[in-house]
Amino acid sequence: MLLQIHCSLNEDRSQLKNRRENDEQNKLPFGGSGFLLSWNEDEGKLLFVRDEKKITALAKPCFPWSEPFEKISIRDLESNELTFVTSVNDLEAESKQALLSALKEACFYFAVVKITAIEEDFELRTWSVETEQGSRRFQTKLNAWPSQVGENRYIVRDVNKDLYVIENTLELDTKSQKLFWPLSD
Amino acid sequence: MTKTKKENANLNGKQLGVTATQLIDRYTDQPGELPFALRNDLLGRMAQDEFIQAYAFVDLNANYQLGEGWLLVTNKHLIFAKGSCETGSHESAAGYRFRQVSLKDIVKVREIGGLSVKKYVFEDNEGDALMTIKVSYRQDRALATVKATVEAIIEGDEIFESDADKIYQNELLAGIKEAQASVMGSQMSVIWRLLSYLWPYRLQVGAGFIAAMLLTGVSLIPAYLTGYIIDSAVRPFESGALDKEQALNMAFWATGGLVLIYGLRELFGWVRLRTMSTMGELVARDLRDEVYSHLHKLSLSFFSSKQTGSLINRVSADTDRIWDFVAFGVVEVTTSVLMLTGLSAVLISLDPVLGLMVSVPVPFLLIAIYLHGERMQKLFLRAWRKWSNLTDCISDAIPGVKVVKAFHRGDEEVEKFQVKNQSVTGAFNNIHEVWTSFWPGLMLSIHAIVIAVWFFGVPRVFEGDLTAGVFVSFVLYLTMFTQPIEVIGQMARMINRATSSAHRVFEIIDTEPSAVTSTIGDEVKQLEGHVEFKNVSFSYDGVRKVIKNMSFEAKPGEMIGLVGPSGGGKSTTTSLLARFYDVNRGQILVDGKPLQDLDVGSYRSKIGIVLQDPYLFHGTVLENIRYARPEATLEEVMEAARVANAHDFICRLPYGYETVVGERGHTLSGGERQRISIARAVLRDPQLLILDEATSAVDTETEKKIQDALDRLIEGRTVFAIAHRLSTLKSADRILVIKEGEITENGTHSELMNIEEGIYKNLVGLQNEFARV
Repeated sequence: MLLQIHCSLNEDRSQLKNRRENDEQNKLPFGGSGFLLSWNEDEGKLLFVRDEKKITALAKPCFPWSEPFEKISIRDLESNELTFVTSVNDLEAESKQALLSALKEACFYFAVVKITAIEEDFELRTWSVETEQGSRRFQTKLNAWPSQVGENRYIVRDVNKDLYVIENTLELDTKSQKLFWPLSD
Repeated sequence: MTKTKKENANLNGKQLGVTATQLIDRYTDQPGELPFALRNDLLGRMAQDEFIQAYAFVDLNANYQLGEGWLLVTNKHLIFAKGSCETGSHESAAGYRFRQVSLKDIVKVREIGGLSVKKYVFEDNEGDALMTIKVSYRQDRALATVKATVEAIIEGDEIFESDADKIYQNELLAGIKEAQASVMGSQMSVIWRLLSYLWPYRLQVGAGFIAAMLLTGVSLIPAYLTGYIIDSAVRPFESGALDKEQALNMAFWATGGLVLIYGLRELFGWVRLRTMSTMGELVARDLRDEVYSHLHKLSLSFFSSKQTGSLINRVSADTDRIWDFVAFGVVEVTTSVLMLTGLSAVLISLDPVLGLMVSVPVPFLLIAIYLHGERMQKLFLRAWRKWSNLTDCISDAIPGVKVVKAFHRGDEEVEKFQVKNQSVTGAFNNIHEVWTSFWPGLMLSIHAIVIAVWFFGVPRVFEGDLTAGVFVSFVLYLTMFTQPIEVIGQMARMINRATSSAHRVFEIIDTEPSAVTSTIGDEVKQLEGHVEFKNVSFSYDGVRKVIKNMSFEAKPGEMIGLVGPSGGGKSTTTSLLARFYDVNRGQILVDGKPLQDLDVGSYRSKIGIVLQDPYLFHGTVLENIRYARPEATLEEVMEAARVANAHDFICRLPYGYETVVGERGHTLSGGERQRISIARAVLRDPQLLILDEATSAVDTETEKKIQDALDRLIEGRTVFAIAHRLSTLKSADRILVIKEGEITENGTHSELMNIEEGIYKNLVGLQNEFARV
């Protein structure tokens, strides 16, 4: 996840320029409204500031898997849309940083870097994995297959609805790949 | 409610579900309870009258890394203890860093959900965060309990005593328990328990086993006899040591012996199959009886936590699988082991060198079969996954075929199917490739043993070191090796399947019947219908109160209407009255007697319930109405149907009252089914009647018919009616408005209409507006 944010921030400048041009042509909804986003680190709170009025807000990416940093609905705590951000890159520096922090929370998942075991138990499949966040053991139902959300990208949802993402199965070590192979598409 | 620290420590330290702790250890990588050191540390910090009400594990730190933290709620404070693995300095000896907030300062608890993170923000009256906690969804249930407890305390509610450890463990394991029919114990203990069901049939089992052993022993004789004939008759005759008559005589006796042996073999086979298969059926029957009768003793909460299909499977498919294991599996495996041991012993005794040459490779062959099984399991898993994709594709497109056609997407759907179909074919062909290569390979290994026997045996025959008869016996014995090797190779899989089924069955048998299904109590012979709720509180999970300190009285013959927003507690109130659940606090008095002191069966036989979605069993209309009173005469059934406004439509059915309805039967509309269920209630003639939104799922015309039927039904009875359509409650003597577990308004229709800004008045206004539209 962190890696992805990093990559997104360092994406090709020309692509960025093109997108900005496109967005300007599309007349960004926040263009003239003059809002600001800020992130309260202590409370982990996103604030939407407009006309000196601060509203606690939530960032809701419309396409969390395919475009997590684009097409983001900023909503209040009652889930009313405050504004819509087409891309984080269209925001000025402070708002962009605030939104990225909020997205880091909203889009958090366990990023699997290694699979150490997949064992079948009674009506359950137990996974032992190494994630970017640390070691984790979790269970899925036997008929709950990993969902493919990209060429070699998979999401595994456990019995508690926690999400585990394998960004690229080909980048896993050989043992992990072998363990995952029967469950892949 | 108030407990000392010592009592609290005892509570937390002794009433631990040991099994739950073990399960947490087995399935997760977090502690199964509050660490002892932390508990002690906390007890030292807490006031004398302070105790832990609930707690949760906090598995994410501020940087979204996995770590250790504990959030606890006492009757005074919310405490966060941050684990040692990520903090620099610590305040406590146990290595935890504490942050404490007084519950008095918390005004609101906010939950914010992300893809795989849940944030709980405890706010003060300014809306500022006093404490922010982030957890993965695994901890969410336990955190929700902490939140509910905090909210209950800050709202001034009386909270129920609770075992914090037990709540934490139950909430943590809830996801696993919901996904799993049952948590598997030791496989051996399950097998032993399963085999204990054979005890009542020990004579048959003994007979079956003796027959199986004799069958194995007898099966070894023909090959030996063949060698014996060659060495004792054929060869001596050829060499002139025996004349023709003597040789023929010997051959005759040997053939007679073979006839006897084959006859005995089939006899033992018949005894074994017959005894074990019938005995297997008896064991399966016992299990089915036990499971099914036990199911009827279980509380409603058990059924709400299990899927119907899963329960049906346990009574049918699982017991069938157990029959298969008991009838054949146990014997097959035992006889195969006996056969291999017998074969090896006979071969080594006939010729030690050749015997070892044949016996030594056997374990390797067994290992090869086992490894092949493991590989096949992976391949089948992959094929199963592909197959699941294919069936998903079908089950998605076929019910939605109207949409497919409307959007002209048929070709794309076919193409999608073809891709998945090709993928399935590939996966299955992969399986065929592996097994078709393995088995010839295995057979080749066995043939290699045969060739080795020939290669080393034949020269020895010529040298006179080995008789021709022994050599032929060897060759014949070799053909008997394959089948037992195959059976033993598959043993692990067979045992796994059987123990899984046994476990699913035992889970039901082991579930304790709840108190509300017991038959201990005073038998109810007659009911007047006087009901009194006295300070009743109820919670499904022991934390979140659904009914809060509810009190009201209904006199015999009164009709009480229950209205209010969904989830407010109306249905729970009637469920408590029907004693589907027992109250946590307070009392429900029926005719002056506490409900808990009454025999459940006889009490329920005196009450009638008409549900929103009535269930009709597969059977005739007559049988369905008579379900309430099987001894009712045909005239009584028809009279009940007339009262229920059902007689007319029943007469229009193809076979009248004898038309088969319910699943796989004649389809009835919702209104028709409802009227049959009312007829049922009429036939029962209850003094206490519960109507749970009986008219909500039908059109206006049908509603009128049902309402007419209900008006006749409720005469002279105490009635509790839940209704969304408030017009149906106009004849109610009193209406209770229930919101968030409390009675907020209580009075007649006109009295409630006089309450300005009242909920009832508001609801009536809204419904009138709808009616005008």
